[in-house]
Amino acid sequence: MKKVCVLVKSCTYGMASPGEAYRAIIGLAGMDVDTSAVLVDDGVFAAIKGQDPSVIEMQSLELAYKSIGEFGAKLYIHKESMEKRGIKKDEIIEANMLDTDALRKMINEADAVITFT
Amino acid sequence: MTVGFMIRTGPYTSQNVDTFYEIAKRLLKKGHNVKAFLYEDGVLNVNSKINPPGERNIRDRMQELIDLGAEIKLCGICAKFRGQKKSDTIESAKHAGMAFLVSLIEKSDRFLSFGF
Repeated sequence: MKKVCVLVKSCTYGMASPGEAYRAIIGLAGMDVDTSAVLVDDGVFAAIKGQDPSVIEMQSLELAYKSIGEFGAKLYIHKESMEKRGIKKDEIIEANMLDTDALRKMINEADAVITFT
Repeated sequence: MTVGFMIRTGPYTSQNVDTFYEIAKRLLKKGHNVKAFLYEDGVLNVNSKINPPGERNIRDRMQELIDLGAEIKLCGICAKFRGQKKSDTIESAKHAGMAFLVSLIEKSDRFLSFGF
């Protein structure tokens, strides 16, 4: 089975990228591809708890990323990106934390890397 | 060798699809296989109504790759969101879903993703 690493790098709602990444993640994982989703740079904002984008008529990315485990994907959050933005662990949804070295290793070991900037 | 591509940007705004065209053309001419999945604005690259006066025609370039043997498919949902019907799409580029992306990744020896 091939390993796919999906990097989500842009901020919630300003770009379609985190939402489109979510569609790709559940599509891949739902078809039994070994899929790891990594929120990195501004992508970490997708993990903030208590999002309510109904006022801008968009779907909640918090709920989206919270659900990817149900499709078989693994969710990771880049530790340094989170710290740089002053986000604390109790402010985000449940996810695996990874540092830059672990991220580098994951990218090296992946058969395919899809970056959503 | 089979090389898989994912193109996430449309025509004329960025160079991504032009880079894809140049790489894919050379691969095909050397006898390699090329498969591509057009995602998000990438679906617009096979819009049959593309008509740039005096400029390179991206639609024709995609058609050229298909004629050389490339398999190019576009995300049906992305096309729907952008109001691009099948009748607005070059005939040889077929609508597909994530299953195509999965098979593309599974079958490719190399995978290249072009986005922002």
